[in-house]
Amino acid sequence: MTTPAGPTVSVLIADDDSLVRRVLRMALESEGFQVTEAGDALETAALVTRSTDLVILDVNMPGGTVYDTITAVRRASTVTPILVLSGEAHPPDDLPAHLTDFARKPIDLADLLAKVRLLLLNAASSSA
Amino acid sequence: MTVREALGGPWATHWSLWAGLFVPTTLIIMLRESVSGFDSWWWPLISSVSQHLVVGVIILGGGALARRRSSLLPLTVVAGLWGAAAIARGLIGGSLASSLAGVEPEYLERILVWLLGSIIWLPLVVYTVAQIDRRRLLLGTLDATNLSIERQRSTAGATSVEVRRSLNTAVRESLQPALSELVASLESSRDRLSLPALAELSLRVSQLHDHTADLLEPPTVPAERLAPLRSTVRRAWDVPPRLPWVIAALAALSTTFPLLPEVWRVFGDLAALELTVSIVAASVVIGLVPWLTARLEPQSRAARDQRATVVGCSLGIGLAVYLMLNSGIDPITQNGLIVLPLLVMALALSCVVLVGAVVLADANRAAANELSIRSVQRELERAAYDDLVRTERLRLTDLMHGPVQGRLAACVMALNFTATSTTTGDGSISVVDTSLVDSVLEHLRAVSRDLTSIASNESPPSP
Repeated sequence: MTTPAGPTVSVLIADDDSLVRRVLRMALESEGFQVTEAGDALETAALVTRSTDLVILDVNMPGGTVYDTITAVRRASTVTPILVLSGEAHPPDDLPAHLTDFARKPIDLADLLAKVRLLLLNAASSSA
Repeated sequence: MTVREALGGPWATHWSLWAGLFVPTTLIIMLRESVSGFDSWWWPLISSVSQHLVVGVIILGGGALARRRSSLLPLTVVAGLWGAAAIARGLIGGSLASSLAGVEPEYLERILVWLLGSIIWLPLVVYTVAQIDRRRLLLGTLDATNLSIERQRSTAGATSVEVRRSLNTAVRESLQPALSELVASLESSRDRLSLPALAELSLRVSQLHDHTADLLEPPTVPAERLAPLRSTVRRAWDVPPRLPWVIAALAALSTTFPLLPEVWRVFGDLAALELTVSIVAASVVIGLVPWLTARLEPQSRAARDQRATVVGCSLGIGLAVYLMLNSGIDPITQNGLIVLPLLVMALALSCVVLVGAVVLADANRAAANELSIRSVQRELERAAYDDLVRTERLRLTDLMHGPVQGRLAACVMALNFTATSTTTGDGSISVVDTSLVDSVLEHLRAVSRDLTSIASNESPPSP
């Protein structure tokens, strides 16, 4: 996928379940996104960069808490939106409100794509 | 239970007390009217029935009306109802005696006698019946609480390992069959999966996922309600004796006042003297037997329950009967014979209500204290067990989060994605991505394996 301005949107999928990563990758790539995968918190921190446009982040991953990972993402980029996924019905406590959203697994992929687009739109308008 | 609660409670205007007082009040009326000159013995009986019916309307009807505002009646209202009933008795008795037997109605005298009887007897009877009823309820609740504590102890005695094992087994037994069925369906239809089959599989996995979440939610168990059972009347009376001489003196007083004026009026001085001697002698025996038992055999069962009191009352009543018939103070034996039923009833009733009034209030206070202690104990034990279950449930939730719930969620997403991507733009069905279906199958098998290892208290590997 390209934004109206041009370049391809890169998404980092951070989830310890390989099947979730695979399904999300297939869904996002079918919509034109460029996808990178991370299987734990440490790998996520290592892979996220200033050029990462969006992070889809599982709450429970080995290697660190969700807060550690969000801090690592924010350290790399303050404007990268984060979509937090969890098996729980409610988002984790004290989830930063700025440029984050929450979805419960299993999520309908159409809903997920809608959330992704909305987050990207918000990020674009907040950085403009 | 306070005096106000006892006297203003339901027993003050209860139909059973009204019905129960028919016999003693009828005997009093028969005694009184025996010298009124009625044509037949059944006129006094009709007078008694008429009085009792009107009293019923006043006490039961008035009580029901007054209780519309508050279930606990003010003592002034209760006294007003009882007073009105006594006045009604005097007026009805007087007017019937005057019109049918042609005697002076003596309204004031009749009303005073009934008022005196009501003042002495009704508070005593109502207070004692209320205390007995309270004691039965307290003992019943105490039994139920003890039973509940024992039940809780037998479950709370379970160690955390046992609770864990039982939770694990419940989860495995609830999930494993559905999971095996899903794996079998997917394996058998893997090569010929249609869109409806995919949708159905996805729905089944999704239901299994939701069921898993429900299993891990703590159940909302309402606090156990104890059924308000009442103990037997016999057990309610199983209390140690107290103040035998006070009970004996009060029994003498309460028997003397409704009886003596009527006996004196009807049969004269000698019969009144004979009655007084009989009552005094009976009350001495009533007090003496339990007092002696407590002195001579303090460790015996009779000294610890009401047996000595029952024996004392029985002997006292027997002595009173003997004196009324054989003392020779009043040479007319017939007079004593007529008074006897009332005397026996009054002595027996006074023994019962006075023992109740003196002994049961204290026993009820002790039982209420014990009940509150046991209730707190029950709550603490229940809370401790709930904590244990909550901790084990949290542990199981943590264990199952990724390996079971997370994997099932991944399977739902994968099956949904497969179904969506299988449908082409024109609505026809393209070839199903079997590699994704294989991953789902592998995931479901992994869930099954992990469930087994969780059930055998092993930590499953992360997905």
